[in-house]
Amino acid sequence: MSSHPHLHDSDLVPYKVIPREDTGLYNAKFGIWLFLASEIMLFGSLFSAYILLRVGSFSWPVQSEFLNVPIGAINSVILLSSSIFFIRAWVALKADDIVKYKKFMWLVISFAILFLCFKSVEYYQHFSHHEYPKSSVFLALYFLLTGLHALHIIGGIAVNIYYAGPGMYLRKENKQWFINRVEVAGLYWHFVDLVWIFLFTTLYLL
Amino acid sequence: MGGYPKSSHSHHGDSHHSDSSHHPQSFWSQYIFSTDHKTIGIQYLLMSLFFLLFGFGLMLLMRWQLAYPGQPMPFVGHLFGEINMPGGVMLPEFYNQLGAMHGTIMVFLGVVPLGFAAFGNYLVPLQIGAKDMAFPRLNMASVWMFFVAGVLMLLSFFLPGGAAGNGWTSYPPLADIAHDGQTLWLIAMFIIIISSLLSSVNFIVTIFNLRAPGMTFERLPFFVWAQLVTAFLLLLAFPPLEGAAFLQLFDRLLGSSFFIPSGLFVNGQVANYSGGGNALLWQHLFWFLGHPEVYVIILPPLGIVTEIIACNTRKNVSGFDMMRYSVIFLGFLSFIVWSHHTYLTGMGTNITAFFQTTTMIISIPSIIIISALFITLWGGTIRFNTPMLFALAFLPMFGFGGLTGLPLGLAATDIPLHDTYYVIGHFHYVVAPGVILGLFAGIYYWFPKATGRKMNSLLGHLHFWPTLITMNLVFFPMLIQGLMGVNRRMYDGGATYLFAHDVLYWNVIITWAAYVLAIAQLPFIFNFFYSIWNGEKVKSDNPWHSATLEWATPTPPPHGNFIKPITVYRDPYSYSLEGAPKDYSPQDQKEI
Amino acid sequence: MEHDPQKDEFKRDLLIYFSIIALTGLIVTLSHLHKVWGMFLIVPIACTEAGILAFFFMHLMTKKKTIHLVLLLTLIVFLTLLFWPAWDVAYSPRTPSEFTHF
Repeated sequence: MSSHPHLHDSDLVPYKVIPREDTGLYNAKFGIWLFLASEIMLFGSLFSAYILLRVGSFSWPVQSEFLNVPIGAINSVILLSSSIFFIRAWVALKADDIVKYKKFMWLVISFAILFLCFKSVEYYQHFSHHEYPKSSVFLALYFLLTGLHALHIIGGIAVNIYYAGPGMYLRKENKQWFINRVEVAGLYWHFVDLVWIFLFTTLYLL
Repeated sequence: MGGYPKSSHSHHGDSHHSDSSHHPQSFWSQYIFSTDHKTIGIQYLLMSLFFLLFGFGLMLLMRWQLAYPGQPMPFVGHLFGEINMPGGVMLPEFYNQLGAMHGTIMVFLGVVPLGFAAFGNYLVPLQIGAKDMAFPRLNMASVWMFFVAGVLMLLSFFLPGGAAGNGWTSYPPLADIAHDGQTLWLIAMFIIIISSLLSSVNFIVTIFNLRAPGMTFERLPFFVWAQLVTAFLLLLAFPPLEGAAFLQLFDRLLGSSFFIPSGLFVNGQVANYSGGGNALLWQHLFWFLGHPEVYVIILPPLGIVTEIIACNTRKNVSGFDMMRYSVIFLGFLSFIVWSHHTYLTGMGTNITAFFQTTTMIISIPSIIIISALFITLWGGTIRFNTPMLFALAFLPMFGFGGLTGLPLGLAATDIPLHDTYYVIGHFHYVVAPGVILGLFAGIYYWFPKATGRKMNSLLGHLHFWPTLITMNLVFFPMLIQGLMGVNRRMYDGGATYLFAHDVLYWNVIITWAAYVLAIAQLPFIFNFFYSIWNGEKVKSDNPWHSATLEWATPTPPPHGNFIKPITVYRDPYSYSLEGAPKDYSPQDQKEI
Repeated sequence: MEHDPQKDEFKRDLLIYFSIIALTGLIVTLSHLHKVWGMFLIVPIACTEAGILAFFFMHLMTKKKTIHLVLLLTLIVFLTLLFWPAWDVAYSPRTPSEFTHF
């Protein structure tokens, strides 16, 4: 028997756009939650390191004397605002309001960059006081945790720029698929915000 | 195109000429940068087989040194330069590099990619009735990252100071202050971990979301269950090692002290670190991955062996329900046993008791699974083909290896056995005559589906029997040596210690057995490549008369796998059913 | 086109936003007081903030059972990782180093 339909690559995988009935999920949404689970474990291992090192030490610095709590708090507000902007962007996208979608996405991106600026100011303050990762275990933890988080922010910025700009051609190919992709990017972005809540609390406030 | 060689095809006509995609694919997009899960599976297969051979080669070098410490190695001794082997005599530093890289390559570039990524990628979509994995491009990214990481690991041998030489476990403080090979090891591990995480996500979403209609979880073959649990283990257990790698990279590159205790002396002087770190932190984070990792190693071959045994006994697997519950329970428990690797670090009795208890409990699901497979043999019509030989050998070998683990899991008996050759004997028993035999079984079993030809069975016997016998000759004496107290990772094999002298002669026997084991792999290597083009062609798409879905495709399966929509009607091991016309009832066939 | 459900959602999102900010302000204040028992309030409040963000912004409450199960499993494994190694260090009889300073 020689006839069977030619399969285009995009026909190979179902449930990219519509969710499967029994799991209730489309592929990428399930995928991103699984990825976030692994990220919970990654940051978890670093928080575990923090707990182990702090519990096992004779003395630990008063963290708020080393770190700039006001800047940290401002950064919390910045990141939280970017999260709510993302939601507005996604709502606008679902309502087909592309102008509003782009406006809010660029707000997300700008606030993320603003976050990084404040972070850079903090890092610069530390470096100019000769406070480096090699100076103490607490500082090493601070730089690693916030640095890794910042890398995640940079990755998120790249993805968001793509979906607000060059990646928009994907919307013409399949509108619902594009909405799904933005939703998935949003989940990642909220997670980055969530990690910051714990970072700020642990490193600045405890 | 999904299939591998063009040499043979079934009577399903043009399906393998597969321009089943819209555009004719170039060589590069079809074979090198493919997103087809079968091609990717074969890429993983070839690379991991190479790494297994390479890792084995490293060990063969070490075995000479262990049998004849301080003597120049014949034939190849001069190839390694004056830095590593002056006058053909192995230096301890080089021995350590070989040891660390042997472990690293075998585990992370050999058995896991072979069992999980190679067999998993090829078979899971086929066995669930899907056309590909959920994220084909992510899949391609995974395999290419794996390739890059492998190249980096190999290149590390050429760094000044050589490759990492701090054990595959890379314990600080040594690993923190070691030469550059360790940094490259950490970077390569980071890439491997990312590759693995992306694969895990791919597998889980595929198994949940891409099952064909009628394929409920209860109807999934045990191989898919094993891969699902493995994927979850990788997803949640690898990130802590990634975190630990960041911590160690910070220590090495930025001078932090995550793992450096205060007042560390290096070469007689106080090292210039802030201190305040804890070397145990690394051990906890490493073994948090390390223990689930060993279940990642064992579960795919367990799945493979189950498939082969069910098919070659022509009956359902006994206790299939129990096997499923056991494998889930095993996966869950594997996260809470890790500190049996740190019994001798001065742990308190409460925490030791906790981990000892969980370690004892975790042996129960493994025993259930192996017992179920043994019981399956009872009353079966056993076909002794090559895959079945390997699968049958797996059972007692893995069972024995598992039993040797019990004294290690009990803290009191671990005290004299920790870090001795007994440990090496134990884990090699489960990995070599265990896991690797299971993986070989899988290659012989699914070779006809991928190529349309069977591997030669005489060569299969020539591979099997010497391999089984020499593996036992290599690893059983290690148990003896360990019980006598011979430590692991000593480059002279224990020669400097008086108490070891009575058992040192085993080193010579082990070494020569290892060399014969190496020769025994030659029939396999020849058979594998020869049979691709010249093997006996199979006369049907389902030469083993198996009931599972991967055999319901043309041979080799084309891009998109199935030429008609699949619906699943029954359990995976529907052999010898009452009232059925044949002794197997394929899952996708409506009538019994 | 109905705006009302959208406006309601927007109001709800704003409410969430301001409550998280308020809670953040609360824990900053608590931290500033430098009380020994502060940690026992600060950490749960931070977890609450995170929970609110996850439930509402990430729509966790409307997610399917599959996601809930995956996250539950992750949470258990995460808590194990978080506390067991510290349990080892805190309660094992190894000699603490006299030189250890943070």
